Amino acid sequence: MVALIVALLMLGLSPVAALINRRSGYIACSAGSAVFVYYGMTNYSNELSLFYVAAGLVWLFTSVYSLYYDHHRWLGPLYTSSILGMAIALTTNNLLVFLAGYEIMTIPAYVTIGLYKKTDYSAFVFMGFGELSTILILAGFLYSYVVTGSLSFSPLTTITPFMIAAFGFMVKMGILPFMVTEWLPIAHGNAPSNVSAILSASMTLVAVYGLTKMALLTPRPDLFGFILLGVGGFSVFFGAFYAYVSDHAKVLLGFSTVENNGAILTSIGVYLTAPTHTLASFSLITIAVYVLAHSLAKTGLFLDTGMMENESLILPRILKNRLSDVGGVLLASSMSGLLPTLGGVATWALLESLFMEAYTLHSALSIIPIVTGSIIAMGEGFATSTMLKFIIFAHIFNKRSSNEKTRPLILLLLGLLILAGGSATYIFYRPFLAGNPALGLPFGLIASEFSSQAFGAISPLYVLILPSLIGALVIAVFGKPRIRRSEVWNSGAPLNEAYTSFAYSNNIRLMLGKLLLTHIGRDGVKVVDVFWSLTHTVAKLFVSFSRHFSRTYMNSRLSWYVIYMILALIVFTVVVVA
Amino acid sequence: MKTRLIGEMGGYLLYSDHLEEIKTTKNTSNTSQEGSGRPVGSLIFQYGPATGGLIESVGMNIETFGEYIRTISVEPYKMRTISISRSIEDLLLSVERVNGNFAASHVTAFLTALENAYGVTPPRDVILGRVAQIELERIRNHLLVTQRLTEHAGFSVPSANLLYLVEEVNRVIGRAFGHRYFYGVNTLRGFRMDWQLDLPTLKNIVDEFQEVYRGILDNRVFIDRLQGNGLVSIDDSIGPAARAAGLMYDARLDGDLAEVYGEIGFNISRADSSDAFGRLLVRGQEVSESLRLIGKLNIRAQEYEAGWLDAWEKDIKGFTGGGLGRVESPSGDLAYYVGIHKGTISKVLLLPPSKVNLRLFCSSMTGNVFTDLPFNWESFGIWMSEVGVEFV
Repeated sequence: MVALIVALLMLGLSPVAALINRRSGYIACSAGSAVFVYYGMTNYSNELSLFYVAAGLVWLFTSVYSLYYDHHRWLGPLYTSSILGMAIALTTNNLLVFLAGYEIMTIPAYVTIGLYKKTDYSAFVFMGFGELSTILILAGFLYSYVVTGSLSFSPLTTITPFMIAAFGFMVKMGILPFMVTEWLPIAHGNAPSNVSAILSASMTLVAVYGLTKMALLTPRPDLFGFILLGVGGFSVFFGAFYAYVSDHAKVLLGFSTVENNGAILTSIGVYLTAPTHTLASFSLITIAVYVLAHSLAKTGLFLDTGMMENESLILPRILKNRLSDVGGVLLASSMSGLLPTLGGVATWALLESLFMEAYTLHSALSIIPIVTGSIIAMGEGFATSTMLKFIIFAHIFNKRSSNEKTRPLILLLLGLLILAGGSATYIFYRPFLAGNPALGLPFGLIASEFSSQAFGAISPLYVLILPSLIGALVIAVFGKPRIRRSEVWNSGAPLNEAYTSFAYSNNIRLMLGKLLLTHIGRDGVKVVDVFWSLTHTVAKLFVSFSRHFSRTYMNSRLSWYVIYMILALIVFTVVVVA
Repeated sequence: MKTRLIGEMGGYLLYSDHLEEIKTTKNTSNTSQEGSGRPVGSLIFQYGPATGGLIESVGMNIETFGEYIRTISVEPYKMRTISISRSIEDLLLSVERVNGNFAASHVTAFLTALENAYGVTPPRDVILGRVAQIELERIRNHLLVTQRLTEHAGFSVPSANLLYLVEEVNRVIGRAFGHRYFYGVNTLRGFRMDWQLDLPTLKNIVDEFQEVYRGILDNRVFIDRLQGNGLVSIDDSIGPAARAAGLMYDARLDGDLAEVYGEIGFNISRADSSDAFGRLLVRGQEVSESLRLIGKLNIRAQEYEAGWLDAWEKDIKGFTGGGLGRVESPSGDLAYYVGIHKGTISKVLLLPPSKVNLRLFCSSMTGNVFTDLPFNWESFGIWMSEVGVEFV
């Protein structure tokens, strides 16, 4: 508890310190974040504690990075205020304080986006949907208060508060159909890289935390659980799909966040609908591992974009540095769901839990997790291609020379953390550890289980160790590989063209043109986010209707005022009598 | 018959019934057009000239966003100049080597231009012999084009089968004319023929081709690569490309040999799809039609009567004038203009079918994807060897 108080004090002081001196604000925030991580590790009671570790690590790395990145007067105070809000929301058990923290987190982010705006509406879209999220959560909390009579997070006897609040959290997570508003990518597209990192990695983490916390307190609802499971699956697919066809580095990463949040939501769905306690426990751990994997990797990748000269992947021009190259590859591997990284374990566990659920349900309902699993698998395919695109065009092509070491080192550290994190998951999956002596693996396996019987298994440790050992052995025996470099042969013609990131993903723009409403014109190929387009149309219709309604019926005429009063009186009387 | 534009020839536009000096600039470049400037994300992908996949060295600059081809320009890699300052016999050897696959067509068009310039009409048997050679060339070429299409589809068995049939046609030609590409066969005096044309073997070849052809037409995977690929519907197209678009364009109807073709009962082959599939259908029909025409010709070696040639040679030194010769090569109209000044050749203009087809190919590639490129290319039956040729 002392650690938590110290952490909150330091985080609380950091905005004030940042107002006086930008660097001191970031230092205070870094120190507070480090203590927050310590608090999460030393007070590990259940899977929710892992959220503290994840959030603390994101803030720590981002704050240290900001020391070498931020040159804007107001960014420091706003950034640290937002982190303070998140810390409050994560650590409180009071519903109202949670909401207060939630707003403290959102409003500075809105101001930051407004300060860095490229378009007038991006900050308003962010704020509009941020407040929609808050209103829904508030409604859910109020209903919770009505049911329990307590303003604390308390066990519920009905799922309604959870359902209402869940929609609020899902808006914040950018889940389908709220993805269509594109607030997340738009907001990130305009925000500085350090703010983007906390927006994407830890702000959505707070929403996931709230959703998971409510889910733990709610009777497990079958139908709504399946809805969350399915919606999560489609979010994975569409998030990855739109990320793949994006050439703006931050928009790409923003859509990738939608994809990851979709995966987390699916895992929450599995938890709510799991037929066995073992499977529920497995999926709960998976939620936490997914959150940790996404938070760290997404932080690193957003910080990576801070080293680009511009945000377009077509011509990114990134710092030429081996450290950031290695870090970037490791982070992208995790986001691609590749072993032995943290993301690899999380993706495996999610798919395993879906297939285990389908197996254990053993009914027509099995089709839901099977179809969802298949959709997620397709989405993961897009995710891998997306990350490959990001790394190729951000780290291999178009480099610019620089002697900077600190920021690339931060990226490398995050990459190594995510690599080692894969093997650290043994700690979280403790009840599911196993070995298979017959295969020469006496220990070191994480076995997915839905009852006492193992369903499948992986070993991130062996995947980490074996290639390294074999590689080291090969080098020891044969020596360092000789690399022969030759000039690029371009059919005898001078080499003055380069493959573009746009071309990389254009096959999908053409093949899935009906889904993306691909338009090929003189200016190039354009795709449309159909969900955003639909939302935009509905919003415009609503505005038009409101304007018409207000001019016709709310135009300050006395006659209409009297009619309102009479109607209100009638409604009031009916309600009272009823 | 309606006058049609065939193509640009030197500083002239060649129509089906006249040659007209170019007064206004018209787009005849080998570049497809889709707006100016380069959209963000596009790149120029260079295909060739030393890249595999195509028979000849071809340099293509493909502007693409990835998969989608926005514009394409094709440059003849092998530019050749042929000197006209030599004897007609020597020049004839160069003409037949402009494009070995169409040697008979080139020589016939060249000789016809020369004969038209002098106002000489060759004996009917000589004309029939030239028609037979062009039709044999057509059979071989259409077999080869079909083979190229099957090769790009990865159909090894029909591809090998068709290559074998091409070789068989070559042997039939070689046995009858002494050279499988008609080199040295045609002269000012007529044409050489060593042996009777082996029509039964030729019939067997065509029958076997039709069997293979029907087989590949039954294959949905193959058809999918051709249908809708390389749509050509512009009016100034030629050859199988024009006929695939349903146009009645054929030099056998309005060219220098039209009269003979009319007498032997030539039937034009057409389709209505304007795409690579339509072009394949036209070629498939034309193989059988060419065989039928050859069967009716009953050709034999023939030379000019001495009187014709004597009169000609006597008049050469003082002659000044020019003539145009146009025939229907396997890929479309092929024309030569020969100008003569005081008995010596002063100007030779060439309009090879591949030049027009190259323009058609480029215009039809906008909006296509990379996978379709080789199929569309082969469907036009373009030979780059005849595109970069200039007579000086």
